[in-house]
Amino acid sequence: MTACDVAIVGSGPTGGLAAKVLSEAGLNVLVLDAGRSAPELHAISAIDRVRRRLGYRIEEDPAAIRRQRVQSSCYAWPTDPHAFVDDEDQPYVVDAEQPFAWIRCRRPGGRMTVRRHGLQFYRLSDLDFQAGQRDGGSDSWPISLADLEPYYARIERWMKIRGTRDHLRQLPDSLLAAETQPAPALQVLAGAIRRTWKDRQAIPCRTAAPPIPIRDAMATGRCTLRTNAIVTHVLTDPKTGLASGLRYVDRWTHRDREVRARVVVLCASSIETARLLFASATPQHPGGLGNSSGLLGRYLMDHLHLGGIDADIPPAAQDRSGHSWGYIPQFRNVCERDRRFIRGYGVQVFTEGIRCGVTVFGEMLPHPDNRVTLDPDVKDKWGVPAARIACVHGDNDKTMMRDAESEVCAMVAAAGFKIWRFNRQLSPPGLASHEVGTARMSADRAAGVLTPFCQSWDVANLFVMDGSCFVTQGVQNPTLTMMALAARSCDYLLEGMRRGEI
Amino acid sequence: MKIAVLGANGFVGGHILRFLRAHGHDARAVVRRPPAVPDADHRIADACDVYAVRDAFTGCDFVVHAALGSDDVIVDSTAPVYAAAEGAGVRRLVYISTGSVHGQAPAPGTDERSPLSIRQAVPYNNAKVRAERKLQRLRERGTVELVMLRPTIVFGPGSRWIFDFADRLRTRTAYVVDGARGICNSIYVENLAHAVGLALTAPDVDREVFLVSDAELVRWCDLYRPIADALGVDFDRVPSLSPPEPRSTLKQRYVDPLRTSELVRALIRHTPGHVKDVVKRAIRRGRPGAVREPSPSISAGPMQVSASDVPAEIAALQRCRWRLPNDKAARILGYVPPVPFAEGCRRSIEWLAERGAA
Repeated sequence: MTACDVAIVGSGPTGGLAAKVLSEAGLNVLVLDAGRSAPELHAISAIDRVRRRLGYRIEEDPAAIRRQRVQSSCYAWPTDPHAFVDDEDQPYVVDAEQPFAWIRCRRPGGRMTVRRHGLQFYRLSDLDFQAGQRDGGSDSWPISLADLEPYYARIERWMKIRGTRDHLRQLPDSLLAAETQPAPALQVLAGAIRRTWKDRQAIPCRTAAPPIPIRDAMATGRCTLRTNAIVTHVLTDPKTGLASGLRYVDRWTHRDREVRARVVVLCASSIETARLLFASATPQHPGGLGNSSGLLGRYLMDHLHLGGIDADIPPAAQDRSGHSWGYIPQFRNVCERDRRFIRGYGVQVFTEGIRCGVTVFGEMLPHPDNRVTLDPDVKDKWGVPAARIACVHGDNDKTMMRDAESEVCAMVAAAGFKIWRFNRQLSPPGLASHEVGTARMSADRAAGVLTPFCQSWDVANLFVMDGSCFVTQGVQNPTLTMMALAARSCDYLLEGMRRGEI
Repeated sequence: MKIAVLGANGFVGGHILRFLRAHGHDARAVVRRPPAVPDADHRIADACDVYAVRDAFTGCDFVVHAALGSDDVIVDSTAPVYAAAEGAGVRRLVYISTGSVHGQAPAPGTDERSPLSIRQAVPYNNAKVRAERKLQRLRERGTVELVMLRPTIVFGPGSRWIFDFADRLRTRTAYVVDGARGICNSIYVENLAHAVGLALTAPDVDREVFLVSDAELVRWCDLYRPIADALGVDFDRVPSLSPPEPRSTLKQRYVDPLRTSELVRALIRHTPGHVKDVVKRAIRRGRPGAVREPSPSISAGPMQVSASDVPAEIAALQRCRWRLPNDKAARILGYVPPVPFAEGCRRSIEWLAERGAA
């Protein structure tokens, strides 16, 4: 059995960041990742590339699609199929009428390492942190932008984000290492929007190289990454009720193993984390570890996603040299209240050569019945109980996305782009793969699973540093906020350890 | 002409700012946190934030980059600072690098043309080498002229070289390595500021690198003895430790002297770029990834310092056997250090006494 100071589940942007911060502070860190090891991944990835070069198209192979029934619905799947999990080996349960596309990626570095990832990084604003107080549609965050500001800056400095400074109320400016010039097509779009509407504008996206903080953590020499480790339980000490370590099953040998740790940090992605906490129930924590509030698994959210809108760019605005992303930040319910719905949506515009693709991410209202539980019957290939996911869009969500549909059409048309494909179908939840919630933070232990520092209310040495802690999600891509929250939580954890409280 | 000094809250940056102002230049402090002493002309900017830095540089013709930070910040601040300087229409950027890009104890014969390595044991050195290389690359594509200065042991009122040793003398944890007879590539901070002033104005020095130091050959005992005297401690009774010499690897013994020799350097200069690239790539493929060792922290128990407590970095520094030459700076910039070493020492000790009194 291995012993370490901190055991972290997941090596994605948040798990990797926690490992980086904690190992740089001098702690011994063990990171468990369910994904394959690096050499194996290189080999698989190389085979995928060669096969594609030789003319094999996985998106036309029925057998491959059958195996990755859900994952194949992700736009990035054809170019990097083995980044995603095998849906046959790792099933989850949904009702037939309530589909949920759980896009999962098990490999060191997490989803950010998938080829063709959009890689956009935005801060949340106080409009998002205090959304509930403004419109009463949900609860609000127990923290504000001011609490997170230094951590945003720290992450952005490390990531070296490129973008522009836009002075927007709904999208706070980031600390930018370089300024980007908008692509010609985006300039045309931004000009048209500026002329037609006062309340909105198009800006170049804020982007950076994929954040893989686990590399920095490994470079300290105090962090060990153990791959092929599928965590099944958070172990607790029956006497103290505190977390004492993790149990995992080896991907190849199917054998159970355990590690001991002073502190356990979960960064396994929102749904996986909730599932893991449910599976770790003990007589002391009968409804799931850290679930005294009964809210574990509830308030699952994913961005309302409208994709598959394609247009032709007029010749004058075409740029064949490369591709670029533009962003139209939220404009509904920013200054004026919309009477039809609360919250809003952001529009992301991808241009490449003569083509332009539009994706809309709308804010989904949190609802306690959108939840993750443990399925009593279904188990995966390793005997781990599967998650049951129930998630549906509400009336506000649907009304808002109908507005998004017409507004996107109007904006793209105003720029003179010719729409040739328009998918009006709202994607099933999950497809945006921005799922958050399931263990929300709250200043009151009855109203949330985690404290405002992402510490479990019930188990003092258990931290959840992934997207699970989100109270509302805003319209911005969540990774930057998740990493900032993780960095803040790590500082709190280090301070607590220094004082001997954790 | 207007000059922005980035990192003016620091020891070096602050001295440069005051020196430039004292010599009639219009200098602006660009700092991350508001300065302790109120300053009429200062701007707040994080060196990694291209917008903030550009706003801070607006209206300036010259920039001195003297900001430090973590090793990541040293490297990552170069691109935003250069881009900001370009955006603000700056003419020349003077970057304060360090002589330790050549290592703590540079090999005899080292000068500005010696090749640099990013595989040194001290992460700070590697970061500075990477920052220098990045700036050179940015200059190739950019419009702002670039001059880099490599001072090594910058001392003066407020320097850590002075007060660290004084504090160690007070807490009786002071030590020297091998009698402190090694060469100290010192530069009094005002001499550095003078060199910066020359680098800002000298013609035809774009993309040049200059080692700068004091005029005298200084040994570590020359720097430390006056401090001990000022504190009333007998310098000769400060324990002299001899930590074991790190075993030199085969590479250090045979490859490095070969690589830095005149002949090989001349050969490299006359090799076409693409051939060099091919060879470099071939060599890189056969080597493991860069090793980043954690920097040793200075932690010695009170009253008892043993040879094993001496960080390798300090040991190498105090065993240095090569004085980095000033010749190029003297030839091209016309650099003649205005303050003699002894005078610099005296002023530092004066400051130390004031600080002690306070």
